[in-house]
Amino acid sequence: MEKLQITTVYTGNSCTGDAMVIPVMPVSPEYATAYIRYQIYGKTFTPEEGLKQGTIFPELRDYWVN
Amino acid sequence: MDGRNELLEQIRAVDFALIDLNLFLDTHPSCENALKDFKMLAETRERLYKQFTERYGPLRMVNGATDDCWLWVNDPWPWDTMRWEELKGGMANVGLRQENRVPDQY
Amino acid sequence: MWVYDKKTEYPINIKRPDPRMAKLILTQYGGPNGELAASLRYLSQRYAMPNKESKAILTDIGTEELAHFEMVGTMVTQLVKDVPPQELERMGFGPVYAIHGKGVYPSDSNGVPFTAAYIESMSDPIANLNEDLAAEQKARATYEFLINMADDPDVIDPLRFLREREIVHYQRFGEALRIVYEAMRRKKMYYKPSNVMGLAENKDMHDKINIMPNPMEPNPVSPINIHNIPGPILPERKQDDKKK
Repeated sequence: MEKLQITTVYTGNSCTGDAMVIPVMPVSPEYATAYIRYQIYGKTFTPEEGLKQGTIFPELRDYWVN
Repeated sequence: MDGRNELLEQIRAVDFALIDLNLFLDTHPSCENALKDFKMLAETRERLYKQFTERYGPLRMVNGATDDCWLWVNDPWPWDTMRWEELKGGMANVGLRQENRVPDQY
Repeated sequence: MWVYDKKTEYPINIKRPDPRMAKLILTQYGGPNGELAASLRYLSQRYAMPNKESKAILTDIGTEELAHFEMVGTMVTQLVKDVPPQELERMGFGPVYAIHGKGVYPSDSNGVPFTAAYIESMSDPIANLNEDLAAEQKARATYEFLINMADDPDVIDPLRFLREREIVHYQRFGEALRIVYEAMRRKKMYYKPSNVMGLAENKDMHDKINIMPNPMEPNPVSPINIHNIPGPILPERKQDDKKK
């Protein structure tokens, strides 16, 4: 079974201790709640290429043709 | 001096990567890979910025002063289209080291 | 407080003036889907946000929107640079020039001045963040409309950059919303009616704990009552008791 991808956000002012585990998408979504898929860090563009593309994250790149 | 534009574009690119990573880290505060990349980029930025400021004047007001001149007010401002070479003499050159001054024609 | 970097976020160097585009692009300066509205919205909303990630993201994105505000103003001023007034009028910039000359004034492309009616800032983080998500989509769409009308690569490149930034901001606000919901979920102590498996053991618990119905399920039907097995008595719910 694929490992559930998560991000850990810590309550309080440090990166240890009481953690909130946020999955990429929730396992059991609630009603009347909007969910945006949580990004996981992967490869990035170089700064020069990122500036041209508008973001350093290839997965956030939205190719639009007018 | 195309050197100014080149260096400025490098700083712009690194600054942009820092901004994008800043936003990412705001919602992923404990992501180690992102933190590593951010620190590396911050160091590069400091180095490039120091080079730029020594040769072409300040981009942040904290670096605006020399002994005899408040360089912060100098052109070009971000929306100006004049080229560095056009800023002959006058305020633009005051305070910069001799070798970086655009030669006066007079 | 703010530190100013004496450069635009994306290089802007428009060599061919275009008063027609200047008038159109002005909407992203002081219009309803523009950068000024965005930055004031985010920078105002951040005070009432409950968690640190939301405060950070609203501050940082609000700051970046100010940088975009500068970019749009730069584009407008470069697009009318050195253009004689007759040419300005011919290309549709006449009404703007009559009032403001070649000055950059926060209004939309119809000349309607900027107003805070374009934004909302509440002490409800979910309302705030959903508005921010909508705002980013509106800005993205507006940039697409502007790019559709532009023909100069020196103009299209910065517009494309700004459009992509809106998409990234949408993603970040979405993540901030996830964090808010996650924090809320942890705080909420709701107790679902126990299912038939744990009923016997939980009967004591039932009597002791305040049964707070799950607000997400307005009329919960306990699965055990479908088969008429005796179970905990759910609190009475009025017919018109609507969730929201």
